[in-house]
Amino acid sequence: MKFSYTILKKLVPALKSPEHLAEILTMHLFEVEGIEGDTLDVKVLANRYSDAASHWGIAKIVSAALGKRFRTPLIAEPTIKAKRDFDLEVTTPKCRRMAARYFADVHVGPSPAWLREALEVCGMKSKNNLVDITNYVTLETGQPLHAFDFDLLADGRGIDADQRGKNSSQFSTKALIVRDAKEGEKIQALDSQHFTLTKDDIVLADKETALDIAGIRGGKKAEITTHTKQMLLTAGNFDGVSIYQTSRRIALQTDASLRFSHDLTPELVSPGIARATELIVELCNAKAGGLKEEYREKPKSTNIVFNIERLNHLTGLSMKLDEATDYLDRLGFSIGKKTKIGAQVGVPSLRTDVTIFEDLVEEIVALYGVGNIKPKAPHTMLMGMEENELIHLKDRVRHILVGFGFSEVMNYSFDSFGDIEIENPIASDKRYLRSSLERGLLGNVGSNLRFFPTVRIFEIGTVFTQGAESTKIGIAIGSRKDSMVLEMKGITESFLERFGVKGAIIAPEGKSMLRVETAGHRELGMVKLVKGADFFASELEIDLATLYSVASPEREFIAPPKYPGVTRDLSVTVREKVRVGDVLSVIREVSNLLREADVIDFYRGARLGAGNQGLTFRLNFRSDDRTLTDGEAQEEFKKIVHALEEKFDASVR
Amino acid sequence: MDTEVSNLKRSFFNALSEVTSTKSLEELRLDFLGRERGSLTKILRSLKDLPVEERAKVGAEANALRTEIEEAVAGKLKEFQSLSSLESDLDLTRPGVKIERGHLHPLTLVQDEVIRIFRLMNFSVVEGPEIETEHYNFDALNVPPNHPARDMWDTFWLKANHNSQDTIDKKKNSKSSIGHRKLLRTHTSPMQIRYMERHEPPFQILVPGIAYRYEATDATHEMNFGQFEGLMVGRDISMANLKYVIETFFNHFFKKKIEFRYRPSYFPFVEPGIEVDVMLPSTNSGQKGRWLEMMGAGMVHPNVFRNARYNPEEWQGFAFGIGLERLAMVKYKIPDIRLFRSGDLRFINQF
Repeated sequence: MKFSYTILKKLVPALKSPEHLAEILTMHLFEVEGIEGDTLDVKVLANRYSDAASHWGIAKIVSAALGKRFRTPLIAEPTIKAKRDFDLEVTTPKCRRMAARYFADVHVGPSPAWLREALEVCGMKSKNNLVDITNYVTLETGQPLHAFDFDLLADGRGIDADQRGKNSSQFSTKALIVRDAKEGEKIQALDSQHFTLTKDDIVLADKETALDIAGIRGGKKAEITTHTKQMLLTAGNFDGVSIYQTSRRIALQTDASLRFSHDLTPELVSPGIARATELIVELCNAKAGGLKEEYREKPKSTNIVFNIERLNHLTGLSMKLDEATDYLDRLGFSIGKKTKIGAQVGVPSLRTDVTIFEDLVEEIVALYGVGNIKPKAPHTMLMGMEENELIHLKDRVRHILVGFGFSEVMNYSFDSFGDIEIENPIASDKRYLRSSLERGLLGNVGSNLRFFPTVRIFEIGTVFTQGAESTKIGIAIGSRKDSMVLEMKGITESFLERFGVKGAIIAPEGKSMLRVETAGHRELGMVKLVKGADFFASELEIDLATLYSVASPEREFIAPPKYPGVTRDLSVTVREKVRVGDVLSVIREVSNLLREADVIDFYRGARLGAGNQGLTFRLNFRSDDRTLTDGEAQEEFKKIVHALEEKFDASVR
Repeated sequence: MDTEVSNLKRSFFNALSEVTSTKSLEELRLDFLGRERGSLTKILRSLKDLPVEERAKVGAEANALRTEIEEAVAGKLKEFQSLSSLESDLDLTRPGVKIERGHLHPLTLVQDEVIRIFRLMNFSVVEGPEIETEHYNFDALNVPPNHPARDMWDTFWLKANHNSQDTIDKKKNSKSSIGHRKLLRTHTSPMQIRYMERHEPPFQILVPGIAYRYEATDATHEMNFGQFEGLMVGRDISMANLKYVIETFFNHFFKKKIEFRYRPSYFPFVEPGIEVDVMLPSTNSGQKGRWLEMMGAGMVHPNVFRNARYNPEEWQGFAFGIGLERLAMVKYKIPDIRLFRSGDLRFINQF
């Protein structure tokens, strides 16, 4: 919201410069987001629209910060020079207060220079002196106002033409009515835009039609023009929620709707009407009529018991009672009879944000300066912290995968499809919450392959399925040439081994998947082979909680072998259709002295003849109770060769 | 019993351990095995003058030593040669072999650091759900329904599952479903309530997590971002304590002496509410230090305690919220928040 330094300087002469003002505001009230010439752009806090979204309100706080007390100008009642009767009716409970004053002999014309400039500094355009006054008084007091051309209000005669003349006095009194809108009621706003209202909205109306959307925008029908001679000045107060909802539904936010949405106090109506009356009489040379008012809901005054010990307990200060009450006094709070430790404090009517003791503490601390509170280390019991095992596990997963050469990515939780749909998506490809990390990771693989020959990445993130959210570990690897699935398989094995998952099974499931399960056949995830637009990739997703439940946290020492082993390489030729996994299982079954068997070479080519493949295994034999002799190892080797010849028709190369 | 041969053997190996070049090695060999001056050669030559039984004994001993010396000299020579080939053939100016390694995401690095510092202060680290109810995200935190204060947190709402109890309740009675509407949490603050519902004070917790805001993404705004919620509750926890914890954290985090600025602010779940700005010492590049908004904080509002069934007369405490990306951007001088979720390894691999 924009404020004028010139206006504030007049109210608080001690101000030195716009920067000085900005510093005081930032440290004691609202953040100043920018200064441009005379204009200060101020971030008004949501709970301070009643008392401080105005130049008078700000002058009060700034004065208090400078050690002074600002008194809101007192305005004398005008001399009533015009007499014209009208009715004021409020039929909706959403209007808490409505005041209207009739003016005659209004001279509508251009505004004086000071008024035009004041509006301009605050980001508003000058229209004519009357409209400008209503806007200017809002800037000064915080109360939105609206003026209607009195001659354009229907007097009710049009309702029934037959009645005309018969009993004209019955219809000659014009009326301003505040009522709920009718379902489907149409209205043309000042800017000529048309709106269709519902029964949840409120309007100001004459006896025939709506005149404006209450608290949001004036209507075309009784607009003030240079022809206006008589007019009705109005100031109302409406239920904040209602204005907020209407403003959201019709997608129209105005200065007035912003203010009313923050639930202004009806007490603001009085200074608003009084100040505007004063200026209209002066600048439009008008004759003021009497004030009509409906005040349905006068807020109760608030009193709070202030206690200096509680303040010091909450803030860590050791402030004296007199200092605390002095701050409150400068802000316009009334201080009742003091005891040793406290006083009854009366809250000014505009301070709707102050309702409890802690609010008073905030007022005092804001003036005293939070920066002046000395930091103190808390005195607490030393208790063992709660350790969240899953957070700890995430840490370990990250460090292990980074050790394997994988880099961590983070993607959006949104996706183009999934189980859970967003009611108000921000983009069409972000209409759902992701149900898997896969698409994000594969996208990352594809885009990074423009810069790297191979990509190894992982993500730990939340995925959302119907009724549940869970944390997944997604691992992906890819290149332009192939899916690198065997590396992924190796990573998976090593990864699970690091978490003490013994004997995990990683077995093909169809052509393009590997099922990863524990030795007890509990599924941990699937390795998927994926063909992207111009790359190949493998991706694995493991549920963090599942990993936690199968991981064994402790390891137990196993003594290194006492006796040396014997290593032999075995090269065989088998038919291509023979699966390496099957050959390995047979090798492992045959010999009980075999400790390790690895595939160290794999070959297909013309040298072996069509349909054949060559496999080389490195076999390690070892006994736990003696050093194996070459002869014993050779014996085991022969058993294996024999089994492979028999089962796979293998020939030793 | 020491013999002449065993004495020779000792003196040879003593000398060998001193040898540092091929040249002195050759000198040593000649000292023992040289045709002219070799001391062992002399013994071998004098064998013929010895009595027969002694000749056999000394001869065997001396010949064994000759073999031993020859082997030792050859071994030493090999050692010298391999050393000299290392020095002469390998161009040590060639670059080191590149070691491939993975990289943690910068947000993880920052998060780990934040968690580490708060653990130093005995905070427990806990997590909460990303899908929240309106109740925990707003109502219980003293943010009333249909209040423009909610505009401070633009919200992603979730569609109710058409078969779920939510929708049925809604149809029956639109009022009873208020507070149960599902949303993506707009801050990590709901964990304040969730934690207090299940724990007795005193305690201090840090809640890291992802939160969401319905807003257009630009260099400084993200709809998907990391946050830390802090909450400390006890009988005497004061604003002075809040300042101590905040300043200890930032001084550790930036590893510099930094300046702090505290401004009044408004968050419905704290009273008083403050905003904390920090200024880092100006760098050598002549960059003038400026205030950076770092966190919102305040003393827990009594209504929040009531909503969690704590007695506000008995307990008081503070809460704060810090943005994860903001910390990382300041720490690493990252200019654009969108880089974090770009998946670009040219960015991530810098960390």
